[in-house]
Amino acid sequence: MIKKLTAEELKALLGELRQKFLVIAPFRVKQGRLTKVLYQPVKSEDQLSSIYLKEQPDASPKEYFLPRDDRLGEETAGADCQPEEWSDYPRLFLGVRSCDIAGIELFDDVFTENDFVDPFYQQRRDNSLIIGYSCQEPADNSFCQEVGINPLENENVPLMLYDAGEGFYLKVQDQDVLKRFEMLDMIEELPEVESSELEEIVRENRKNFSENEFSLERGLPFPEKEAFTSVDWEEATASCLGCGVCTFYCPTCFCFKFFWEEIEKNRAWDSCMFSLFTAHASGHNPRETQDQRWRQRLLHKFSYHPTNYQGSPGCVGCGRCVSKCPVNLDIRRVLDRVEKTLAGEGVKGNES
Amino acid sequence: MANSYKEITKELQEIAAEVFAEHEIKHLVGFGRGEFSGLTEPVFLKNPEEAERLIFQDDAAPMLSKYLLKYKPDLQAVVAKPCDSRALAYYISEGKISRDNLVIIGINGCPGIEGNTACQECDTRNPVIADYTVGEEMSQQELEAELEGVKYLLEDMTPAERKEHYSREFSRCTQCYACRDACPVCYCDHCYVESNQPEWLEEGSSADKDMIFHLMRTMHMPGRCVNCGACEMACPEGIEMRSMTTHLYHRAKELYNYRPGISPEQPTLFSDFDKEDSEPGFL
Amino acid sequence: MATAQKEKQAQQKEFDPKIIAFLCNWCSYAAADLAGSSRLQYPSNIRTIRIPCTGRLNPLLVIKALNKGADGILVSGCHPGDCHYIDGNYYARRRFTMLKDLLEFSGVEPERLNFTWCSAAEGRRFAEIVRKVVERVESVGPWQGFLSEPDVVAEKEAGEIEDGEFL
Repeated sequence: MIKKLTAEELKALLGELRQKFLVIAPFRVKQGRLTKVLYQPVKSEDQLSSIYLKEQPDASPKEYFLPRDDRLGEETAGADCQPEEWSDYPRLFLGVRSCDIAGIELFDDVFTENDFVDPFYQQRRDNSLIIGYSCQEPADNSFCQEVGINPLENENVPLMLYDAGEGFYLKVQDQDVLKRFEMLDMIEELPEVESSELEEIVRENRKNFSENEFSLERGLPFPEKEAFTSVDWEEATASCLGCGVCTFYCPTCFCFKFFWEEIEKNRAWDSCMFSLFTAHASGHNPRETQDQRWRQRLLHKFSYHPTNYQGSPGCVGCGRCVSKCPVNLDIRRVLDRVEKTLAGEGVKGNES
Repeated sequence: MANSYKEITKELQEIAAEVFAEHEIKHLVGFGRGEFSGLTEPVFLKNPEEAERLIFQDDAAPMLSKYLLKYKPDLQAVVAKPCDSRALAYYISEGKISRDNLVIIGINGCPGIEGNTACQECDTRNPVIADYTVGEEMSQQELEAELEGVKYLLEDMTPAERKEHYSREFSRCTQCYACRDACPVCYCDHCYVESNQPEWLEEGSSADKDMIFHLMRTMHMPGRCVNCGACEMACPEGIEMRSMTTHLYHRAKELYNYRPGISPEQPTLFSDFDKEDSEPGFL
Repeated sequence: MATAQKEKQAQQKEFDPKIIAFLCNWCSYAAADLAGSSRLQYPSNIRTIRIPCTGRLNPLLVIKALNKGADGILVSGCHPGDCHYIDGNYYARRRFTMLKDLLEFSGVEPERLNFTWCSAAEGRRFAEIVRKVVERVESVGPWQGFLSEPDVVAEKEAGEIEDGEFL
């Protein structure tokens, strides 16, 4: 089911949805010397026209699923901490691109696996509805197609929004979810159009994605042992400062640490790029140097994660780690080096 | 006159070849263009054929001196912006690295880095130590003319206004400590941030803790900070934190006539004293 | 009297500042001792921490003390030239000047940060210093932390949203 709507109609729809949802959308936000595109809750009707969809947001919405500072509650002997009942509106994320959707799917894999479900994550996820957004141009430094992500279409969200220059198309992909959130009627009221119109736009936009200097030839996962030992990690990552900005902005990095304030348990982001991440109380640190940490980050995304989750990549190719790096260390360059080394070593890829 | 990036790049490539011919260096640390990103990134050149990879651009923000400590027993060559050369002079004055292990290619008349506010108030436009130089030196008169009327950050605010300013700025801090990591003179093997015995900084991020972090970091900076602005350039949240270190930079100059890294022979600010030092505000 | 004024007065009365005093073992600590044994009266607001020399005082400890809720700081060592370790207090002087400057620059009231010299024989001076420091700290009221009002922070935390007709 494909609907066509003008910008005014979209705003009207969002206005209506604000009665049921906390609408979270990308805005241009001034932060010091930077102007960033960030997901923020829509606070008023007037703000709707300031929603900014044209560029890839600077940060993925992962903060809304795994907050930077997560107060889990008081910890007493016995049962684990449980989240309080969800008292707010459910959340509606507008304009989430394919890379970030894939990031959330990866979180789903990790946090809601069969043998362990994170109740905090589960609750936030259950109370979230995502409206996807089709990219028109590749973002700076992105390489999503190389890790198997389609920037133009995504089947895994109930609604997908397409910018048609004049107005928008809204593709309904999962009516059950919309029913559950009692918003199907609102969508159904909109005028329906033929799918060929939309296909034309996608075809047109796809042309912008044809050129890509970087290509990933090898299938995932990378062979763990060979990559671990044969690549000169030190040389490839010598300029890394170890600040961990790449992991904070990464839509798929989910590592966290616990700490306690009195008896209140807290969860906060951690990063494998920090020396303390693996430091033992004894003083021993199994990952002593920065290149070893880099190896961990890269192989986690391209070897360990795909191995554990049926070949799905641990990197969504959004390119934020490159754009945000203070020394512009490019993961594509390191990947290129790894591939070349593996090819030179005659290691066969274990595509499955 | 500040030199153009193009000229500097051209001269750098020529001199790099010379350096490789004249010295048995482990590597030459300079700036190159990222293969895929097109952005300027630090490169470690191993042989003279690579010399043409060297560039100097308006986004060459990282401080290369930082990398030298990692490989310090070896003879290394480095492309040094004037601020980098000061950091190196400071390293030498603290005995962190030996002058004999350095081949410094200094950039004269540095045209500055795009978006770095420190470059607008830079008082060192020629390298303080160098074995080779590129570009034309900038004369003292020119420098003084450029600096005339330049105010340093937040100078005109009242302390209360600054307090509010910092409250706002540091509330965005994500505690990645990129400012520390990018800072050329933040070189401790074990930073106080990572110390848990004593625990200077408690776990968790709140604006309050971030403020403490920055205050404590700044307190390590007087007599060290060369006012290069790398901290701010590295910050992914665009936090303005340089005004603190800059303030102390200027105060140390006023009170003790001390400028960090101005010469490798100069004792550091806190390892030296004058019996007649003033006591502003003491009871 | 207006209620507001009354309240203010009540508050001032209630305000009993906590002042952390870092005292050098060789002089100011002994001066405090002398003040005590000479039965000199001074306010009981100071919490003394004995340190071997002001040169040994890590400036971070002062920041940490304020962070933990001290309303004021007093650091007292030997007079310049009299240091037990010859020149410890000369080094300390530079450090504290910088520390004081930084904290005042970032919005801490100068009255909270007190640095002085006091020899072992100056029990009377020590009592006077403490009286003065307490007065100074009382004049600026309770310490609210390094940041402005938390709600001001929260409001601006996310940054300003740029208005515009983007959608």
